Amino acid sequence: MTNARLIDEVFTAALDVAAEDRDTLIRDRCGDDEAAICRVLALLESAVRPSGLIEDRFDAIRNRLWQAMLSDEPDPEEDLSGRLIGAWSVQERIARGGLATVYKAQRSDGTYQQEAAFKVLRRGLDTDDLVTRFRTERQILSSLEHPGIAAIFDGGALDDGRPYLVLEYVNGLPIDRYCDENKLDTRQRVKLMISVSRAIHHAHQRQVVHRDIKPSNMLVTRDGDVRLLDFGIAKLLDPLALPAVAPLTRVGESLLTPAYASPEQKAGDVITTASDIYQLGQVLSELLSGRKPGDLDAIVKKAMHTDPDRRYASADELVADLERYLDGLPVLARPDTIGYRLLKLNKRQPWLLPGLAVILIVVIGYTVMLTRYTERLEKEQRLSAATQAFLIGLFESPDPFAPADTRLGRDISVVDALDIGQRRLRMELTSQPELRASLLSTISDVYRSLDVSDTSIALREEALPLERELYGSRSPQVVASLQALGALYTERGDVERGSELLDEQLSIASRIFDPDDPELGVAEIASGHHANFIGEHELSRTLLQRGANRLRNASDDYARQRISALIGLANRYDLEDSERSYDAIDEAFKVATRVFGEQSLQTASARIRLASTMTSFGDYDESEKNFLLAIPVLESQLGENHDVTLAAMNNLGFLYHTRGDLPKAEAVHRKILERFLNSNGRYNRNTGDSYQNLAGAITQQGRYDESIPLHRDAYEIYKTVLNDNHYLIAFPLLSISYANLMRGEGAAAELSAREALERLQATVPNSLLEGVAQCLVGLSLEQQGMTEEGEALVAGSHHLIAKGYAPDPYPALCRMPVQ
Amino acid sequence: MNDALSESISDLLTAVERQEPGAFDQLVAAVYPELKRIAHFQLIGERPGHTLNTTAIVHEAFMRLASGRTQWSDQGHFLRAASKVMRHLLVDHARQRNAKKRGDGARALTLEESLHAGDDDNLAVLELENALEDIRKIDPMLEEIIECRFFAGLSVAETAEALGSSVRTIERQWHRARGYLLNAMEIKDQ
Repeated sequence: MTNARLIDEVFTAALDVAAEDRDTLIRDRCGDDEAAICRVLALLESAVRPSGLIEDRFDAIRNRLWQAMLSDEPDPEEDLSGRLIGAWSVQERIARGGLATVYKAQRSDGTYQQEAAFKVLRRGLDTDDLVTRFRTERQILSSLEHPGIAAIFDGGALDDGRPYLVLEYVNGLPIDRYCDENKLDTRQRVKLMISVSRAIHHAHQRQVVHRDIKPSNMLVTRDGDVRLLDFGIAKLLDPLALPAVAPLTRVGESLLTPAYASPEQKAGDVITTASDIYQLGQVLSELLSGRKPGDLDAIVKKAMHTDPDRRYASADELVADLERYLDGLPVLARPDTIGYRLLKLNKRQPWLLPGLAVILIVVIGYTVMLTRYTERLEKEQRLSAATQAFLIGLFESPDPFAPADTRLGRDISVVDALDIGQRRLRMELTSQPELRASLLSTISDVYRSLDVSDTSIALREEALPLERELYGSRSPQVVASLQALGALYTERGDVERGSELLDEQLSIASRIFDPDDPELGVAEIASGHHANFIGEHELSRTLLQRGANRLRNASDDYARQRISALIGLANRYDLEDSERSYDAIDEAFKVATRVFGEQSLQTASARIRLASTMTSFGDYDESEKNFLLAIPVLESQLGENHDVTLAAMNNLGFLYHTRGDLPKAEAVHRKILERFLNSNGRYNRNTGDSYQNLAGAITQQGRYDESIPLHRDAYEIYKTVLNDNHYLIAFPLLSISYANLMRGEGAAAELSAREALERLQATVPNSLLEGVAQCLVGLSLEQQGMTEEGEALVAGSHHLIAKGYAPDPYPALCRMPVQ
Repeated sequence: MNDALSESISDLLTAVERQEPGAFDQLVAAVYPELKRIAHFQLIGERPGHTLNTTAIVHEAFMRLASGRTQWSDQGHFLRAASKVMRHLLVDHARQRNAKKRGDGARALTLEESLHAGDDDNLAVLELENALEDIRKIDPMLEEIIECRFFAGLSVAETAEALGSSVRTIERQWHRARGYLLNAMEIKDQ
């Protein structure tokens, strides 16, 4: 008996006995043939493993392979190459799908040159269902005319009755391959998806749902144009829209590509345009794989929401949000928190919200946020007041042009509501021009407060001619619209247009309003802020002062404008006349307290501004007191993680730092960092600043081993989120160099200082900063024994350091001559 | 499918059973188009998220062939033949793909995404085929059982019918077959 036979016999016999008797049986039959025993035991182990696993696995393999086999099995009979069919000369086969084969074709009737894709149903599949579907595709494509959709030229049937379609030939790559092969960046990928989504929107407007959106159905040409292909399983939402087309049966619905099918498609539920939105989201997600910044992530999530009702209501909305992303505007996919919008605003309009007006203590690279809170708060006020008024007015009043909308039953965002309102407005109010103009302006204000400035501008531009016609060019209404538009255009970067409009409103206002009319003050203040922005400081000061004076005796309705003028003045006087600056803030603070109360945002913000000024006056105790009163108000009204709150805390940290109370500064900065990490994540400019500030407080306490890694965090974050030529990247390097110098690591200090020097020479040459960097290089050389070279560099840095106010300990460290 | 074709398949099956030369290739040629046709329809009728159900194809093919034909009452006979044909097709496909993978350069652009089987699938089939060579030497019946169960996706009861054996026997032998197979292919339970 061969060994294999023995093993098989023992194994087979063992299978027939109870598990507990197997050992005995094996020992009896195999004796001391250890190898045989092992083999039998191994076989038994395999045999008694839970059944089903290998069966399931092979079931799946078999089924997959069959599918593969069917789709790429050669079928010579099927080849139509070289044949003339209708006006078309069929050429080589270019693709083969489960149902259809696609050939390249040329128009051959001599009329003109035209390349085409010839798509024919595969042999043996010409069932009624599939033939109907081909006809449907033809009809659907004929109803669509869009540069993003491959056009249909012709269609017909072969001699054997199989239908064919002649389509626009698209010489391109599937979108995913195109993106990868051309190494497109995120923005370029988003742009392609915008084109695709536009094409889909076109189809949706014609009641066509594509249902099979996936990368292989989106080809991108060499010129970068996208074409959507294959409406093979597209569906008409409303069969009546194209009367000749029969509604598709279930067969059509089952051809979906599983990987891209929406949840409702998988569940076999009713398919709407929302399924296409889902698939667009899926493709977007894939194209962005691995590099999905927060906003895009939110967009993908909204597009792919499991509840179809919570996705974008249309492909157009998706387009709009993607465009907002590209423009750096807040995307609607984000939850509608004020903080988020302000955060975006901060990124987009650094001049409006210089949350990070950087005051610099070079030693530690202290970055400080001195915020013009008022403008921010104005925004917040506008938001809440205008939104409330608008929403209440539009949706809760029994007014005839706001019928109950079923969409309002569920939780809709403010923007959703506005969009509905705006559409309704456009449709229904043509006969009531006054109401229309006033609503256009109001909705425009709400959009502005939501920071959706394009829509805001569009609505105001629409209101303006109406108002001119209704009330005349010299009317308060026109002044108000010009004011709003001027600010909007300026915010958006079109300063010239902004200047034009604001000049016009001021000139009209000074003609139509009495000298003691507060509206004239409002007009002056609007122009005053603008003048400040364009650098006309003298004019700005005059206008703001005049405006503030005119509002002195006005009703409390004008308190906000008065406060904003006073804060504007304070900022204007900040450097030149600190007394006047202080007086202006103090007045703003008093107005705010009287009108809005101690616990109001206005008061808290004025208080913060006041406290910051006190810090610069050296009035530390008063300053601290005011910070500690204001910050809890901000925390409770705006939230702990709100960046206005955090900016205020940062100023408190700065106060402690200036006062020399470093442990307290450290504690505050630690808290700020934690909160920024929570709200903004690591890779964010503010988070970088927080790291740098916290590290700075630690560096100054001499705990260099602890602080250097934190400075490195700041450096790494800056390098990621800032342009490479941003001078701020040099700050942590200077700090690291200083810290290394202090702990006697001359070589390391030199390395960081040299990189800082290189960066500063490239970005802010001949500056105090460059001087500090050069001095640090010199000092680190001295420490390494290269005394002569080092001393020369330190001495050579003096004229640069003398250009500004170098903070301690630099003047001493760099051996600046005492003045 | 017309009657003449059914009849010729009937003859071919008998010829394969008798191991007549060339009979098998003819059987494949006769049965495959029908299997393929059914598979295509199944692809169309299939619910999204699911793959092809090959077992159903075999049954449907039999139903079609058997409809109105008394000599086709022998379902077991057909199932056994179909298993052989399907094994042949799958192994052939896997070999081609495997060779192609090694020799192939650029892939043609597809308009409609073909469902690509992973290389792993092809390799698994070839591995199974190798294992079957060895298992046949131990007991040809084990090979037939695996053929039915894996290549046609037949259940234990159907396999019993196909091989003209009792369910109890097939169950016992299936354990034995699994022992050898898992061992040979070193398929680990997940």
